[in-house]
Amino acid sequence: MIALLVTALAVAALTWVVGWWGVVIAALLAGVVLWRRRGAAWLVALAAIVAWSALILTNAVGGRFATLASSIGGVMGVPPALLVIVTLLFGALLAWSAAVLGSEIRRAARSARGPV
Amino acid sequence: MRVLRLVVALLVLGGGLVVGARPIGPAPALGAFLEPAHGVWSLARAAVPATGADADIPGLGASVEVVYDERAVPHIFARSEEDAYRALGYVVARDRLFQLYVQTLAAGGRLTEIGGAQALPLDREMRHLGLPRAAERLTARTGDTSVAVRMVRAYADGVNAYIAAMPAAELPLEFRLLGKRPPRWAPGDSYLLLNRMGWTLANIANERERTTAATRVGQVAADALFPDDSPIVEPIQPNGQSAPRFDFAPLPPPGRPDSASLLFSAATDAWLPSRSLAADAEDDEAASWKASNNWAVMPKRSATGNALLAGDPHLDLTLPSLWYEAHLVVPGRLDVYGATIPGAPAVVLGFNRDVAWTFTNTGADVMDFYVEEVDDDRRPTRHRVDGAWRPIEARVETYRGQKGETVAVDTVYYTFRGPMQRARGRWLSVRWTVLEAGGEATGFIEGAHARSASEFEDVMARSYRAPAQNMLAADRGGHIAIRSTGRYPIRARNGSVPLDGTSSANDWRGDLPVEQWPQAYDPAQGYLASANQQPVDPRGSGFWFGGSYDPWRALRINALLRADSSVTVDEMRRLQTDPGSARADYYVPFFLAAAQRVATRGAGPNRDLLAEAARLLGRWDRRYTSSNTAAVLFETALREAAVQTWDELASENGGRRATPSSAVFARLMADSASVWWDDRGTPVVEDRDAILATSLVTAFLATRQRFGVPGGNGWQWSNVHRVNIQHLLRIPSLSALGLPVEGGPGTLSPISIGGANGPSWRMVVELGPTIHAWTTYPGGQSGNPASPRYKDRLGQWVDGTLEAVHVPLRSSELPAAQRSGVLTLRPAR
Repeated sequence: MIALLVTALAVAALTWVVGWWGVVIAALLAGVVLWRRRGAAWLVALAAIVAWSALILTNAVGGRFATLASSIGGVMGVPPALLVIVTLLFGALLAWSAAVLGSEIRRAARSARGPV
Repeated sequence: MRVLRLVVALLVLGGGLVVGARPIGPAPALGAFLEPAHGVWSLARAAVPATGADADIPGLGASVEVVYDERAVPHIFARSEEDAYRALGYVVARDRLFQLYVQTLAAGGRLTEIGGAQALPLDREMRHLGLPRAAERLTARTGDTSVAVRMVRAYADGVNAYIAAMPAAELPLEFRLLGKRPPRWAPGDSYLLLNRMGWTLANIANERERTTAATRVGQVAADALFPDDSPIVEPIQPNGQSAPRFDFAPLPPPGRPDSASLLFSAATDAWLPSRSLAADAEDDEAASWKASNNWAVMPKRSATGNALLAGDPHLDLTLPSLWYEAHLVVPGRLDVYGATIPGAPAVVLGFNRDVAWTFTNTGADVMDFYVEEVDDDRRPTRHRVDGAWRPIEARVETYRGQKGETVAVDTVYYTFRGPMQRARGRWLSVRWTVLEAGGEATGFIEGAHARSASEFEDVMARSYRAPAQNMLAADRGGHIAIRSTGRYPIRARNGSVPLDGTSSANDWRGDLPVEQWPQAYDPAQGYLASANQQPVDPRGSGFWFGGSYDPWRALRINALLRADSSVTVDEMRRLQTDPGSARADYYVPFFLAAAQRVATRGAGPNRDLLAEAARLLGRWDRRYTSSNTAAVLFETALREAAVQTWDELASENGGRRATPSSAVFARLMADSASVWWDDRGTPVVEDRDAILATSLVTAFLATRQRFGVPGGNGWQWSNVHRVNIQHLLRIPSLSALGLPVEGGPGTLSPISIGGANGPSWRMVVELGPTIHAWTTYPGGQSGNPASPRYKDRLGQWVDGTLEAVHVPLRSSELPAAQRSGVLTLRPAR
């Protein structure tokens, strides 16, 4: 749970600072750190969903989220809800794949150093 | 298994990075677009502006306070005019940044940069007309420190200050969809927009139709069918008559085709192709549904004893709207409120503490074509005038695509008259007042200081050139004035045919002096009204203004104002959406009488249908209300009658017909046995009554087939008369489509076919000791589709209601309950 929250916080913070690349960077780092953990990549993907959901929520609170979603959905020709799902899925896929890569890099680096 | 997972992860990551960073097809790059902190979702936050904000603006002389009222209108309180216009640029950019961008692209012939090659025809029209070149020359020429130039530059500074400091969340949706960033605003962009307005209001439909008709029925008949003078006379400049005059001489019969006129048609098609296409898509009567109105009453005809003024310019309706409402205050110097065009540093239609003003389009013909003799037909470098060669300027126009690639390259040639194009194997140049204008911004900026109606008119007459406008003003002293202000070239002969460019005798010989412009001041009738009708009584003017004029709305306004010697503010408002039609009042009795006469002489198998149609039409109150069920029958019948009557004007290959206006058709009504009534496709010789009766039956059957039970809900006017307000990129989900509104052809609030042109701004002003005003427009102040201010005024616009505006002298006069936000602009260090 702590790993999930910390990763989500990292994803949110880096997204805020550097934009969408933030999720890749944060997930890559999380993958490196959590490489031993079983299902780490899925946890990072979940953290990305949590983080991006929270960020979307900050836009929705006091904002005009439903109107906006409806407008963009209309432009894209998709239901507004699907657009939100696509957003979260996009972040989650980036996070999962980057986390897998991060954990494999860490594993490879460790293998290269040989058994301790 | 791990290897497979890694491969999948790499593929997903690679794919994600690609679609995240690069646009795929029409879709934007998904990364920046969907990212929730600053991407498109953050627009939900930006849609509700902070109630308090501040910004540092380079060049600002002192702090400026901008108070937004509950209608989201910014009240700008500055200490200098430059600061006020700088702040106006800032707040307009804040609310309408994408509109600034796309309007500039459209006016500059650069739409290919967002639309690719499919936008090339539109861009070519702008560049071949020389509009960007004219703006560039104006910008270069105004390297001075005149007031207008300083304000234009200050405005640009304000726009650029916003762009430079714009929070990521406020980047408009359209930029995100297109994957673009807003470019810096150049002072010349303001001139581009003003030139574009000249193009919007260019009026050559009548001449084009006349020349088309001449190729089918000869020049004499064509001149009568598409006359320079309206056969129904109710001029802007009062002619001392207490009723309209109907100059209904019989129309000359069709004559031999005159193919010489084709050159003029070719010229208009070459320079204004989009206008020609639009005209081809609708008949001439539909084109005349485009309209603007204004009127003012003197204290002696107003219920409150104060002068009243109303105005509603009809233009293409878009979201966001063409207009942006603002109030600029510089204590002791400037206090002006009204409608600004985003991109133009001026209140175009509005009022100050003493004077109110509003415009309609004059529609004068100020565009002439010249057949040029050039030295090299393929690459001309000189053209001959009076036996001597004069140089031709060649300008290379490069059209860029979405990624900066070259889409096309043209060379546009210019004589001293204007741009040249080839038409029907000849080189033609065009001379047009819009390309030689430039004082419009000066007029608007200085006009805002006027202290009386006459001063306003005089300020505008000194500076304003094109497009000519019927400028109506009223002041607190109870005076009203109107003048058709603009540049009217004096020609050796009228400009309705291409002129011989090898002779300077055909060039313009100066301009009509101000005292000869159509105008009136405090007329005895106690009111003034313009509705795109002929400005002066042709019997009283020897000057050729050209153009084409729609008399019906003027008839209606004048009839209503003549009948009312105690006009109230609310009546002024109601007039703007009055569903009554002088056109229907004129025509319906002819249909009813024809039905009766034809029935008397034996209507054959259609007798019952004719009786039923006549019964429905006879019950109609001739008002285009949403729920009435006869307007659709009348309009269909009138159109059918025009088609049957003007069969001589149809092209032999089945192309469109040149259709005379309903005012000319009205003239024909007075001649029941004219040869024009005969439908050449039938063996019998029809007269007026036969055509009208047949048209009524045909319309009845067509309407019944399309809308069901006669007189039922399917026949309601609202089913056929709807407004479609398109988003600037014509994205349906960002548009307002299918809005039912009252009004119809000939009423004061017509909507064009397609529903895209209508009243773009409505204003009523009472000029008492304290000024009061009411306004609305179809849209809202914000360009953000998620904003509650994006189209919040649509409801009241559809209903024909107006909102009272606030005109505080100082910011403290606007109480907290009437404020929606405050923006403080400070000088940047």
